[in-house]
Amino acid sequence: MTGQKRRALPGFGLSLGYSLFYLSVLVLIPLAGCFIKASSLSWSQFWHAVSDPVAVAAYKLSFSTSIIAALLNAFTGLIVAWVLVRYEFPGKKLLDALIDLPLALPTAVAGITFANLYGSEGWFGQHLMFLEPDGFVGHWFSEDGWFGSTLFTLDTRARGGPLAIVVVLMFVGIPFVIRSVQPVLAEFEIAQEEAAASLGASRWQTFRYVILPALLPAWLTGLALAYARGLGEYGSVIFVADGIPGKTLIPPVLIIAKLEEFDYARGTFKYEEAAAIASVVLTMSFITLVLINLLERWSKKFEPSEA
Amino acid sequence: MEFNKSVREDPWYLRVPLILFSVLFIGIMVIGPMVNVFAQGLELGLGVAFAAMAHPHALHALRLTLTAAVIAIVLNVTFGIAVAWAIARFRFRGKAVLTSLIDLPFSVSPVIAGLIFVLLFGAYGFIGPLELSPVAQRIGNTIILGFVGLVLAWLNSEFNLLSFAFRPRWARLILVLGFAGLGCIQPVTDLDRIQIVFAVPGIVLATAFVTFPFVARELIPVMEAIGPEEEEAARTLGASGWQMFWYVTLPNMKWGLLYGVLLCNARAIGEFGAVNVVSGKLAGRTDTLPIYIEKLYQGFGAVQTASAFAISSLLCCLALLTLVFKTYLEWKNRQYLQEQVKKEAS
Amino acid sequence: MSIVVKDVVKRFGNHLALNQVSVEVPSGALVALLGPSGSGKTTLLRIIAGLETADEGSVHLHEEDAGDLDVRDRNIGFVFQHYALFRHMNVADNIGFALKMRGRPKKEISDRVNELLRLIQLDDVGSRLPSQLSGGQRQRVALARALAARPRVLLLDEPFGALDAKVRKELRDWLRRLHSEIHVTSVFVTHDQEEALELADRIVVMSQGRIEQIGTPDEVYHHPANAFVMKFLGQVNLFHGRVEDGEVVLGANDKDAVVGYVRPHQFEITRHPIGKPSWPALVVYVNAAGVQVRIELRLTDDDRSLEVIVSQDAFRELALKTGEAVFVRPKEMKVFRDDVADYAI
Repeated sequence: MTGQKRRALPGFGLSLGYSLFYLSVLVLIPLAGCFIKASSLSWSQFWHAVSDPVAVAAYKLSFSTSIIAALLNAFTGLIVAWVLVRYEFPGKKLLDALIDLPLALPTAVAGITFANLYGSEGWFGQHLMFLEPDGFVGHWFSEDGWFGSTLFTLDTRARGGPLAIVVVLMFVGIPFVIRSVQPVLAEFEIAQEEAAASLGASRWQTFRYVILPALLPAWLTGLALAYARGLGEYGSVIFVADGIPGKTLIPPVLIIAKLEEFDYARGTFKYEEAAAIASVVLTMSFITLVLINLLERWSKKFEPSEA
Repeated sequence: MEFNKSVREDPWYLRVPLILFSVLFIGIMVIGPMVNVFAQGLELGLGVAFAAMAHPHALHALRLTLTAAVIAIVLNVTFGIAVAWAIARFRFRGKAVLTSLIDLPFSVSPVIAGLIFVLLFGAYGFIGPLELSPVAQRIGNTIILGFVGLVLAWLNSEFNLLSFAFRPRWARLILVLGFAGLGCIQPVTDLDRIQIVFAVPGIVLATAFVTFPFVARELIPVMEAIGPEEEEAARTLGASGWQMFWYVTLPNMKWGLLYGVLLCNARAIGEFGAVNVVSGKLAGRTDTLPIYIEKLYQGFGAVQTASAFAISSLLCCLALLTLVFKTYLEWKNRQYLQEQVKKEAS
Repeated sequence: MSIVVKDVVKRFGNHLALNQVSVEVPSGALVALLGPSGSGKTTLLRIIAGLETADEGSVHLHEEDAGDLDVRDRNIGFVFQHYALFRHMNVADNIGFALKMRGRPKKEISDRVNELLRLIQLDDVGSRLPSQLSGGQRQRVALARALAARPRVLLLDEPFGALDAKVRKELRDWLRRLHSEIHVTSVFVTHDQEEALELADRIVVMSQGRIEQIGTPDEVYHHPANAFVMKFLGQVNLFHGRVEDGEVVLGANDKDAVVGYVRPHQFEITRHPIGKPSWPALVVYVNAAGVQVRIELRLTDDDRSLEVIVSQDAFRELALKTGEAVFVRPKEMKVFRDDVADYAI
């Protein structure tokens, strides 16, 4: 063990000891507490809590809106990153700085301004009435509409529906893809593009076969980060989604509801059920985290080694 | 012009639509909502906006938000420096695991971050509100004062304060045991019940949890880029550990540190989900600014809504200010690290 | 003895960086640790400084066991490969750092800083930042900083490694003069044999964590202890042969095979064969630009290339041209075996 030796630089024991102490007290022990609480339920109780139709609908909603928002961000983020790195135009610096606003703006503020903007009297909402179930586009997707009656029904409401959740999740996820792709694109050597051109590749072929593969790891990392952020988002969603159980209710809201629900039979709050649902969401998040870690390790392989 | 073109230059029919798309996208998704905050905040005039900000509950929420943010920053800066020092300067087993554990709170939904503290310290939680029996009080005091003794012993070993009277080993023993014993015999604090959830400590804990990774994440790469040579040089020139930290490590990491603090602060002030669960939303007592905004917004009437937006404008200004500082610090930090690259290239 | 290193062993994981290394450095000496990269020379220097700890063995500084001494208490001056100047402090603050750490009064610090700035011939750069200096200037500032607290031992890690050839030469001469003035016991690490031969009064040749030879520049160059030292300290031609009656007979042979080593300047080129051995060869390439003339020969017998260096005078006398047939014979040959005598005319 190298840790037992005296080292030239001081403070190893103190810094590592304090780090582990603080990490354990603030993060590891409380998180473990959540799983322990959930495990105090019997298996059938646990299964009942986490497989409740409302809970399952909530996972599905969270999963699908997050992935749709992340994919949309991946597409637009690539374009915005490209524009910010490659083109010059007035106001570019300002645009670049504003990309990070979703990280700096409190989510509650984002929530209320989006709710207001897309409300029936909001600047945007008043032009989007056609998306409502009784509007001409929304009608197609409702149970009575052509699309809804022949294929499947889709809730396209701009206010309160899944579409609204996708929009705010897009907002909170904007910086991730752009900020992942931007540095890779900026450091991309012009010589590689020149080499491709000299070998007869068209501009599109160069992009498709030379630039895009180099961006892929960073791009996927950005996508995964945006997705992870969407999974956990709470503050902005509760203002725009109308929170109908089984339709537009996300897991965090369900957890809070369980926490405040009093179990008269047992004379206590339903902490265990809240912990059970939380542990399902946590597991999903941890899987995403591992995925992001693997992606980052993968992308490191492409960096030129120091030797 | 044609012959002077770089392979990188895209034709205008590609360039112009892509720029327009980007500007439009950011315009609709970011600038529009931001402008809307200010527009709605001023809808009923400046008078209403100022009245909303001057309301005692608003001021109390502001104070609580800042208190929680400051404590969370202090805790996370201490941790960030410690963990960055350990990871960037030493080799040890489990380093990769520790590095990825730092990011853990980022992947935890804020609501769950609040939930875990309710599960621990809530009325029906594992520990519950800290009810301290006389024995527990003594044990707590022993631990706290023992820790104080440990800190003093460390300071002593760094500065050789007691070297005139004791050997270092004895001085350490006397300090730790002395202080711990003092705590055991005579309790110096008389707290017998500490309410954590639905009170300020819970808000601080939840805020510290969600902002946990920020400082450490910024400091580790900065310290790795700077390298240990200057610190080793300071040691060969006779600097003690503390002198080395103060004169070399801290000045070298300052831009990265400020950057981390800035991000930590922005998130701490804006945190909603986690605080929402632990605060209990007691008006004028455990409301932070974002929660106060939510309450106003859920309330009825145009004045309430305008007030919510007025206070939101305040936070929005803070966010914009954060962005300005962030851009400046990024530039400064890059410049600082580049000096080293230049140095090595020459 | 100023520095005594005894049986030091150092491992990094599974890699054995230093294997039973012992070195003694007399007071006032200027010693070079010479070796290829990965030979452990920098590790040895850092162990002497206290920047690394040895797994086994001991280090004594001025008769005092330094094993328990912290870096800061060893009173050494260390010059880092990339200087490690404090980038946020100006030159004067950098040089005065060691005295400040020792709590000396401001007046004393500024006097000492000015004295050192004069010594390194940079009187007017005290208020500049390290980033505003050239590589050679930084090097001198780093040296002044290391000397400020009057260390008992000066340690330099590749002191000229990051500089271009001309500045390197200047600084080398300057350092030698400086050392003869202040006479502080110094150890420097280098991979450049020319630098070591020119600057040091003792050279420690290292490879793969072991010491191959310790000696004066003359000893290690002219009397290398083994093949590695011979090859590392200059160009060398190899001859495979066998031992017959304690003498080397050329021509590869499985039985009792040996290798003979001949430096390029240890050959004689003639128009006619003289004595034995004397091999026929063709002149392949001649480069007469320089102090000496470099000639590439190909042996007619076994088609091998030889590198030969002759003086300009000898070259003029021979009047060699490319493609000409000549005879070549070694004047000296090293054979690193105890039972075989080195060959010499």
